[in-house]
Amino acid sequence: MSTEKTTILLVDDHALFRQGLRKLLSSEKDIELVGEANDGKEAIDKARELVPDLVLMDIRMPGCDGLEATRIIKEEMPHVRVVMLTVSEEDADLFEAIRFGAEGYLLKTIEAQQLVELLKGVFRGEAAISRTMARKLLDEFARIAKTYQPPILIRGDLTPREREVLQLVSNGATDKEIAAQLFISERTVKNHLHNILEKLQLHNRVQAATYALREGIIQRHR
Amino acid sequence: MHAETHWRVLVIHKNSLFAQAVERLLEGRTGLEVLDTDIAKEDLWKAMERLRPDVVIMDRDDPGINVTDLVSGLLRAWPPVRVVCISTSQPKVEVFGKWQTQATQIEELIDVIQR
Repeated sequence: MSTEKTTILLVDDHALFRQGLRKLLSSEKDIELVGEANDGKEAIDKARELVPDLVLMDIRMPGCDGLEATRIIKEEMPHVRVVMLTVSEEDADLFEAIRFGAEGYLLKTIEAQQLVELLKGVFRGEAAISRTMARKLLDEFARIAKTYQPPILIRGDLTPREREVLQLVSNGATDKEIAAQLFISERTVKNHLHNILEKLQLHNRVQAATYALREGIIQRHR
Repeated sequence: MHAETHWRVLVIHKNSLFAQAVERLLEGRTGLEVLDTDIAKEDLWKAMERLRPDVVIMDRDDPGINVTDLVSGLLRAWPPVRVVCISTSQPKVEVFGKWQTQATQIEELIDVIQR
């Protein structure tokens, strides 16, 4: 096991809270608090300078808030983990943080020891999420799952011959050209195309070609 | 600083990371004794009677309490007590007692509660 300490940048506009957290984390031999920032702007600057393993980020701060700072840090340094540490239980903050790439979302009601354990877990690929917020995520997934329509097509739905036809359609070939190339009649080509559109639930060959390319069913013509 | 005076500090809301952090900052300071006890909000009055702390630290962010009522109740019932309200949504810690004041750093807070 590596003996290197996990380096953390602490971002919070509350000086006393930072002082206290520094003290709490100072007893952890695996963790080293390498820097502190008072707002999002300073967090970005310090992250660029220190490149910590993890940023512990408050959300509500004057000027550049923690969400915006998270977005910029994750864009520039995707390997730097960001865990939100906040009093905000608002859905919008949670989902925005996750969307911007945060690896965790912890509430400040957390026990100090639990905070340390969850932060260590982030480096084992675990998500650091307070229970209340995990519930909100599950609720949101459940809501999405209810309205989710799985794609009707899977690659195997098309026969090899239909894929050949689709490939030629996407290359811009006419029915006559397809027929000549595959040594089949134009009527057969039309039948294949009809079946393809029905399976893909599309209306025309342009849609079929676009869909097939986008989904990787066929290769782009070189 | 009044190192000769012994101030007994009671921290409630230990489920708050901030309260735990402040408690840790106060531990081992000369003239301060952080009471090693975990008081539920509903047991606060009994604890006040039993422990007679000089300072009570509470988390203003706790949605389960009316901080204004609690602070005024404590000050009325235990006039010498100092009540420290911490909140991560406000950059300063509020201290209520003989006078009301604020602090942003731990040294400042200790100085304020020992006045």
